[in-house]
Amino acid sequence: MELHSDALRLDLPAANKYLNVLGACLNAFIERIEGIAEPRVTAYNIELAVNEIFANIVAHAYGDAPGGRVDVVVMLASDPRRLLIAIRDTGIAFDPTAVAEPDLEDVQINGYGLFLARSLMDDVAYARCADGNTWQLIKHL
Amino acid sequence: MDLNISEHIVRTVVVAPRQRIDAFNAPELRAALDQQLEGGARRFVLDLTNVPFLDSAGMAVLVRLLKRSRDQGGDVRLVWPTEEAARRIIKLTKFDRVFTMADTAEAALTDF
Repeated sequence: MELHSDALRLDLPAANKYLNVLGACLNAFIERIEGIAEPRVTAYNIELAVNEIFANIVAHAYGDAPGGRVDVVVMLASDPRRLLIAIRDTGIAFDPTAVAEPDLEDVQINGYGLFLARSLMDDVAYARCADGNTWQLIKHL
Repeated sequence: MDLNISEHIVRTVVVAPRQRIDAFNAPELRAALDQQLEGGARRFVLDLTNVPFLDSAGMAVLVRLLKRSRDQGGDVRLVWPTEEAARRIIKLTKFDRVFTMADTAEAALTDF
């Protein structure tokens, strides 16, 4: 993603301790975007989707090991108006195709994270790069 | 009169978190619920009224509690969160079909 002049960039330690920091920043960013339908629900859904990808990176890309970083870039794009969120890490590769969709008719303990991210955003894309992983999330506003 | 009276008490606990539940603090909630289970509680009311945010790690704790309590003859009731978006996530994941939902903790207690 090309970094726009008014993009927000967060450089966070890869630890779940910072999920609330990430959420607060996203909510504050979205709060000042005018004309969003159901702004509170929209902000919650975006926060939850990004929260799930971040927690997934902490658990899988870094295996809960300390020292990793997660780079999050948030920007508002136009025509059509949409929120773009890029999340990068330098951990090991992740295979999103290996994650089965949860069976919603038979409740299970794990497997809802990526399902939620994909359900709540308009697009969730994953790419393996030379030095890490990149997730790109898009939400039309 | 020859009467044989026995009393059966099933311990029920109401747990009402009052903060966001995410992957950071979900283990703390899980440990607290495990402690209740190990202490003999079998029926649980998880009052989500004042939970402003619930992620998949928090949801995993709820499902784990449901399975463990049912394995021991108990059950779990959930009280709807006030936060509308959180309510919609419960519907999206169909948790409202797996758990018996209630509007208040008092209503959940009378439902066992």
